[in-house]
Amino acid sequence: MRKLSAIERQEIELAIEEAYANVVRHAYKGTPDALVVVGVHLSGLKLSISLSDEGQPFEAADLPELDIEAHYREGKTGGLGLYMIRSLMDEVVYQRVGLENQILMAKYLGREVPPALASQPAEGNAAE
Amino acid sequence: MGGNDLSAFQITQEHHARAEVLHLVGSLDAHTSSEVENRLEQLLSAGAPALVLDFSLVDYVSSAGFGVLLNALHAFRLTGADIKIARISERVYRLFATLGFHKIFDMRASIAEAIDSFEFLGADADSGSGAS
Repeated sequence: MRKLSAIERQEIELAIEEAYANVVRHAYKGTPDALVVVGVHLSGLKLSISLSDEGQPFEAADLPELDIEAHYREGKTGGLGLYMIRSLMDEVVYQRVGLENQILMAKYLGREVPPALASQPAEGNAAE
Repeated sequence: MGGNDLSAFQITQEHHARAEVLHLVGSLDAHTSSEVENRLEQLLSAGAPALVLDFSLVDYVSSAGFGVLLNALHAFRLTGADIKIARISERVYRLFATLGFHKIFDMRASIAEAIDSFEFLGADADSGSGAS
């Protein structure tokens, strides 16, 4: 079986952490002893991860994609968790099934990074 | 998730003649970001015009951490001050780039370069404590 690269591991860990934090904060609103079911499935190079909860419907799921630069310019920092999940994973679907919220996330492993993102740290936005 | 001890985050402040430098060590997440937020608010209140965050030993940034960083950057720039990030690891830089934050934060390879990049400080050589 193929090992995750350090980058893939970082992105998948963060996506799960952010999805879980959204369940705790928004679906269960901090209620203790609530249930979150996490599923992981690997099919070829497609890693699928699901989180299911029985909390309140996640209304922010229908929000459009953030323009992060405009968001920053307006002094806003809300919605970063959902923005990160959508940016870090290749597929993200929220659905309400009966009394359950489900987030289904998938990442295709071993994908090449777009060239624009492969530059060195020192070249970030610091070019003069 | 990003480290062994959820509460372990170190901030060391270093005063340079032309900038304040914060050396950050650990994971910037929901458990640790309030500590960083408090320190940044103190520096803003104290009127620090130029702040460099040494990211060389930051291994993980979650949405809570990015929220604190974006808020602080916005607040500093509103007052005419600025924050630069220096020495970020390649892996954490990739996270910034994937999320588009590399277009918002000014990131530099070294602390000296970060200090020199504050336009409002002019072009004098840094005569502070000299870490690079």
